[in-house]
Amino acid sequence: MLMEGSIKMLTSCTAMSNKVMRMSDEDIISSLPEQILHHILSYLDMKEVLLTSLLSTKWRNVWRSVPNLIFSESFWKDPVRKVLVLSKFIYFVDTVLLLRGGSNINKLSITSSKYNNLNQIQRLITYAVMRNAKEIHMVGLDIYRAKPDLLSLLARVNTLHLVSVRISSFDTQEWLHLKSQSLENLIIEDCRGFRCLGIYTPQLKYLKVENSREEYNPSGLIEIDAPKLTSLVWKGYMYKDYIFSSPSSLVTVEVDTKINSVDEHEHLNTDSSDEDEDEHEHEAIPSPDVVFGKCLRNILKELTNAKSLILSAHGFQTAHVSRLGSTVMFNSFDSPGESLEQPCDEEGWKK
Amino acid sequence: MKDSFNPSIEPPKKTVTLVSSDGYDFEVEEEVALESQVIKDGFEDKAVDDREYLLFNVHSDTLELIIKYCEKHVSSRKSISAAAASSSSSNGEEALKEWDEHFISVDTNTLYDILMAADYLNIKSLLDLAIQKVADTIHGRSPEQIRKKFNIENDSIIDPWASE
Repeated sequence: MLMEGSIKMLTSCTAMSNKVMRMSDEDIISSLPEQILHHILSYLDMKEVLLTSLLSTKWRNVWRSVPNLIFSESFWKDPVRKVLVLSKFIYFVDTVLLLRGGSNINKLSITSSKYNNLNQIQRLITYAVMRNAKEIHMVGLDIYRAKPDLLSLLARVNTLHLVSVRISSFDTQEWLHLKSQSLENLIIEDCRGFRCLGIYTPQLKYLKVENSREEYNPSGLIEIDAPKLTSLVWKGYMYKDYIFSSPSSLVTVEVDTKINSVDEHEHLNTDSSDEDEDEHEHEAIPSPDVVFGKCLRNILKELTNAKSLILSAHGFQTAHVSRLGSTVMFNSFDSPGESLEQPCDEEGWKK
Repeated sequence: MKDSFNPSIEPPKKTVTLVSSDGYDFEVEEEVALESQVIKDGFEDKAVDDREYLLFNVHSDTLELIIKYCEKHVSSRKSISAAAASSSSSNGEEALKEWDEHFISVDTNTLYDILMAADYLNIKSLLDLAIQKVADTIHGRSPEQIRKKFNIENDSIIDPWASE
């Protein structure tokens, strides 16, 4: 009676129920339920996962249905010369795909700066997407001028994480267009190959764009059509312009930007607002670069529902507003020349 | 019986009782117990005076650790969000990570107990922590070293031609 409906009893791990006196030399790991073993192996590179198949007969086939496939070329260095043996890496990836079971994939992660054959990459991505991969991570790959079907395959996952990827749409060298009905999380870090970025994703909730390397600074514009976007993070060098083409539902925003070295302004303003309640803090520090200001303004314009905003740039002061009930907490504002105005409407911080 | 969570008023601390597999009662604050997704599911449907949970799969030694973990996470979540609200610099998340690291540095048997209890109670962050710890143990080791570490007996026939 005490338990009814509250705890799913005895669904698993009955063997562990009472603390049995265990012999110190007992093999407990092999007796763990398979889904836990899969979870453990999900943290390891596929090469290490494969090695576990040699442990014992119990382990021989565990790797075949591990839901996360993580391939990294760093495991394929020649032990003596410390250089990548690419052919072995490629062979390994293909062999794993061939021999693993047909179970669904949760996440595919591939890290390589040399695995650049578009056909191979396409085959790998196709394999993962056909097995319902929810998440794809790519680090270092070159899919510049990828065929449209590769991009549309990538657009079928929920989470796409691109790091140092050279990428662009096939038909244009200027743009990277990402159109997706399913994408919910998109992270683009230090990617290159495009000047302008178009994101058309009705389901997108989380977007992070980071450009920590000045030479990759895209210098173009970002166009975002993501009505469900609630969380946005901008880091590093700024794009020249930001266009939001659908009404925003942003809740948390973090902007931590650098200005290109051509912009010599050392200061920029820091605005924070929580305008649902018409409560608003405005701070105007010497005017920043016009372009930069315009970008920031375009971003800030979208914050009609924002509850949390963190702004910082070039090691400037960080303003963090968060709402507790209807109270705006606002402390630690030690930037010089700050002024707080309250209340103030949206127009107040558009300038 | 539904609590009205007005953030400006501190709600009175409510407690639930967790009973370990070996029969010990642990009285913990409601929000600490709610770290467990299993307890959270259907929590509101239970009568207030009936908030007692028999955890047939969790020994008191393990339950003590689990409660310690949940209490720590509840309290540091609060202090982190308080610090964020006041913009005061805080390394709360860093400190919590360190605490986690220290918490999970236990002998293998205890690690399994924590892992299984976290799975049973569905405390995701703790399960991930424990599983990550096991994965770290496998990471970078040869099969022979892994066997040694986990007492796995190699029962596979290495050379099928050599056996009989």
